[in-house]
Amino acid sequence: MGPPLPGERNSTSAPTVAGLTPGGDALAIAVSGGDHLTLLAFLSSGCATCAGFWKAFERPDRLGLPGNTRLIVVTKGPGMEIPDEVGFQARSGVPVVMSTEAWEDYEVPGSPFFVLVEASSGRRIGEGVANHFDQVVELVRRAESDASALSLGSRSRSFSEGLDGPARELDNDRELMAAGIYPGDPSLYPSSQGELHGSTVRKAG
Amino acid sequence: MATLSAHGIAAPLPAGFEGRIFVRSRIGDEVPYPVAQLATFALPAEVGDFGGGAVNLMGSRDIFATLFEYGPESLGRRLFARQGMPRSLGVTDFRPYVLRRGLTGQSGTQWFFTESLRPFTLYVVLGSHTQRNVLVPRVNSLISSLTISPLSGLTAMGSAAAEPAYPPSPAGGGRWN
Repeated sequence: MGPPLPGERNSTSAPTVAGLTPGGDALAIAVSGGDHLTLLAFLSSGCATCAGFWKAFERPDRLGLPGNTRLIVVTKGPGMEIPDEVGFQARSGVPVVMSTEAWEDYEVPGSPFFVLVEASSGRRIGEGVANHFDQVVELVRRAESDASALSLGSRSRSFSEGLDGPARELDNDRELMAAGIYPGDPSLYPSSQGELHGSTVRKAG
Repeated sequence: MATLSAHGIAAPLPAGFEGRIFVRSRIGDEVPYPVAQLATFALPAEVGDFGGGAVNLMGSRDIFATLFEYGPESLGRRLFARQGMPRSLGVTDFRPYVLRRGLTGQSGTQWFFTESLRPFTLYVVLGSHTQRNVLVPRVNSLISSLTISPLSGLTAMGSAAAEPAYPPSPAGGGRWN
């Protein structure tokens, strides 16, 4: 989504978002812990592109986000946004946090900007600009799919049960042999980065 | 560390905690007062003041805490005689039967007190009573740094101002329990 962002950005950290609501209450959202996704929508009350998102958020049930996704709107704080104007835009049940600090924490280049955080790892797994919410939904679905694939690919006993030492080695040996890779197999001794990363394809067994 | 701050209550949040401090919208003649809700899990949009709609979502390693302010008419009453919120709780303070909603496995504690001329109750729920040795230190890390400031507009000991010194949130309302 959108142009590439500066490479020096810290694009993985995902601190808690805390600030005020347009009504003057305090609200903090912890984006790590649990098994859900948090989609942070950094919007402004006055930006033209944001208007479409505010409108879309009036019906959160029609957004098409996966069920385990928590949508949070983040505007700049009351020193840089007029709470009444933000309150006027935020007429749905989507939580709105006014926090300039969150914009700084997430190094938001401008609005609109979206950040997707995976609670289980506490890391950003996607971020960028979009013109329409459909594009954001696509990002979320793709990220969710990638995360599921990674989870499936990592589901060895040694990973899921936290094995260590000889038990882990034995378990790894079993998995390799199940895949047809026995002691001495050349694939265990890559001679180049290409072999290591699979650009030289060979069939095991 | 993120800090929640509104309505004269400030709560630095230890890692993993989130929360809100709000005043519900007024219904009829009832005058609402601030409520702070703090939790280690994602709080739903609508949560009762004492955790209704949230405590049923807790995992065994979760914590829910609410700080509920009463009106100034409660000042000076025996129930609120304790001065100051407890800043450190022990594992024996939590009991399975001290729950507003008796969910199996959970336990809770409740304290009434006055601080900065404001009457409150602190109610804390642990996701699992058997995990209290692990969870109570986390509760203490939360409440040890929580601060309650005096509000202008409240007068001393029972000579209550009729109106709160803070406006109820226009977006507030909803559940009460």
